[in-house]
Amino acid sequence: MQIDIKQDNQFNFENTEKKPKRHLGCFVILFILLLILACIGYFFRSYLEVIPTLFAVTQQAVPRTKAEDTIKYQYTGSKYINILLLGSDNDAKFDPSNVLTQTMIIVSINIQTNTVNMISIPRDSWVKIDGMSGGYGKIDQASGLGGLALARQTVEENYGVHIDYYAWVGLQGFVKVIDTLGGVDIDVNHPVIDDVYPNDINGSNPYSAIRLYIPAGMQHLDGTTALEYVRSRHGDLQGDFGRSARQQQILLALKGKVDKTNIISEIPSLSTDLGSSVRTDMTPQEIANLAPLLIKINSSNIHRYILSPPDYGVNGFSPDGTQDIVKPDMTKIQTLINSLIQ
Amino acid sequence: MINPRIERNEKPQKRKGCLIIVILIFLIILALCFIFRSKIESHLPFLNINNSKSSTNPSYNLSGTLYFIRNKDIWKISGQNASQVTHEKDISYLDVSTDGTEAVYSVVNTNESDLFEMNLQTGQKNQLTNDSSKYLDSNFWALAPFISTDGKSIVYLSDKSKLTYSNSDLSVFTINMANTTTRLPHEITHGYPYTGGDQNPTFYPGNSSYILYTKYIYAQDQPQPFSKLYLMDTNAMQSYALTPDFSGTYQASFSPDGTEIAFVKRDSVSGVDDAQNNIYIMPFSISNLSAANPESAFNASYVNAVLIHSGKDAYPVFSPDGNKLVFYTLNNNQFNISEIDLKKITDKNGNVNIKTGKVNVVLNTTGIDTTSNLSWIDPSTTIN
Repeated sequence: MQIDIKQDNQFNFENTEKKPKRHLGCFVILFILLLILACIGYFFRSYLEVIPTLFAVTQQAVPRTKAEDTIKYQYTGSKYINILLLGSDNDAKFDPSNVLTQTMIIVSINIQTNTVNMISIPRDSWVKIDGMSGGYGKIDQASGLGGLALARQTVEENYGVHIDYYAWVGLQGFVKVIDTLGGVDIDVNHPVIDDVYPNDINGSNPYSAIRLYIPAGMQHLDGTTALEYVRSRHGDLQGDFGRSARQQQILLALKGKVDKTNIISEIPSLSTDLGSSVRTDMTPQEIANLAPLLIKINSSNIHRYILSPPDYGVNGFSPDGTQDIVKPDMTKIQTLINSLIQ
Repeated sequence: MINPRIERNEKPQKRKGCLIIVILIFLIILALCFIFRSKIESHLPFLNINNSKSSTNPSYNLSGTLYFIRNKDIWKISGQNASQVTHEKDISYLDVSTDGTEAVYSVVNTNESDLFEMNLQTGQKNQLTNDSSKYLDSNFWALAPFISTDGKSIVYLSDKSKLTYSNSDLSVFTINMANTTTRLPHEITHGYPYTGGDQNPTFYPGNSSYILYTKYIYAQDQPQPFSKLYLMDTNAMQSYALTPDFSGTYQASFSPDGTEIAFVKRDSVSGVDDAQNNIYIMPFSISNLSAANPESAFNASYVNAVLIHSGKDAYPVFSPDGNKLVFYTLNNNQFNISEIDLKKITDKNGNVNIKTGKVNVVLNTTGIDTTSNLSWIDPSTTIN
């Protein structure tokens, strides 16, 4: 009897032990399945939200013009990657399909020596523009006349630099990029006071103005203040050239920021935020390939140039006397560019 | 006959079954949350995700009280604790009186700013300037106030000189606080147009006739203005250059006894792109100022300036006993408040070796406003 009971007990004991084991096994499998489901869900959500925006921002190829195919460049080979950075005042004052490029910076990356040259072209540079009445105009008008293709062609024809890629950013896009990266840390070289800064982003009247003050010294700028810093042109005697220098300064600070930020984790929010505010013809893969290269480049190997008077031209007036222009000294400019990109 | 053990074992199985169902539901909800996370968050207005990190250095004990601006409010550090003093969300450019009772600051609005004083014990506020107007060009800035040691004068920046000179930028102004009926601002300097104007005005300790400030100036054929330090004798209305042209010196403050000046200097390593904002200290004596040669007044002091800290720094301020220096420094994409013990970097002969000094992180947090002065108050005047 005792033995039976013992056997019975053993039987019962085994029974009660085996069933939970099965449950435990099922539970583990279910847990893993649900974990996988959660991960798939997460990536599916990311895909749903990010990928379309990512592709809306990137791969926005602008067909090359016929004239671009005939341009002869000073250099050949794949030593350089040249990116044309374009910035536009795309506020309510302008037709979105006909914006001027207030900012034009050629970023030339030497992938062999890991050096970068940033060359800012003043927006008032009086250059040959295909299709422009009289043949010449301010370089910022090229995009308004023939879109980004003509802007790129104009830079290539006048400055002899083959542009591999372009990247365009509007006002809101600039603010969003900076804010998504958590702001930018800048040494403001001198205080900026601008009594007629355009109030065209948040105000009800895009033609109105506000007063602006940014103190000197090391400080953290959010996207809006950073935009004010790079856009103000009444805060010093240099006007447009002064802000070109500040734009390059912000680009350098952003590079430093990206170096220390896990940029991969920011890509979803960047892509979601940027929407119609940023465009480039680079593919996500090309950006992914370029990012580590840029991070590797030391700040001391990034050189800044502004093609402004008196070194690279003279201030003057358009032939009809109606516009303030910069007459570029193409001989000096070409000598500089040949020394940088050869 | 029913085995009692079998009966007892059925209930746990049911419980486990329930538990599994609960976990299943939880995991499904978790999966759904992953999928619709952004939507859920955006529809929860009460959900406030605060990712900001804030930490005082547990091994550092600050003697006295250090006031600073964080997220548009006054904060203070006492001992090892950082705490919020105000909840105004509109405060910029702070200074606190040496007895710790009064704070002066700017409230910056679109187009203009005004000065306020606040009793730090009662929280009572008093507006000192009124520079707002519905007409854009009738608005003015009132910025960066600094209280004299005796609390009777305030020096600050304003562009109100535009009323006289249309193209003037920020200039140094003073207000006599002792006169409670009429506190008319008095213009002391004239900021150069298109430089942004003068910056960082402070009084000489114990004598509000002398004002130290940063001036931005254009040199001939130079596209960008450079900064240098000046001292203004307001009795003689004579200014003295304390640093040379192109020195890139700014954000200066006196030691409590007035014998030293700490300042920031832009030092270029291999070009403007990697310039450092380093902290220096130079000796100072009013008796060395010569009205005969005011633009060379720096010869007696600047040549003896010594590097104290190298980095992306801002606003060096002496401790109340003059033995330490506190400043903002950029570290890993975030501004810290840091301190350096000047005694530990100075040998018996008075020579400074920065390698022997350890920089103590006083506070590591987000939202510190590095455009505002730091105010370090003597322990005996600390407000609890």
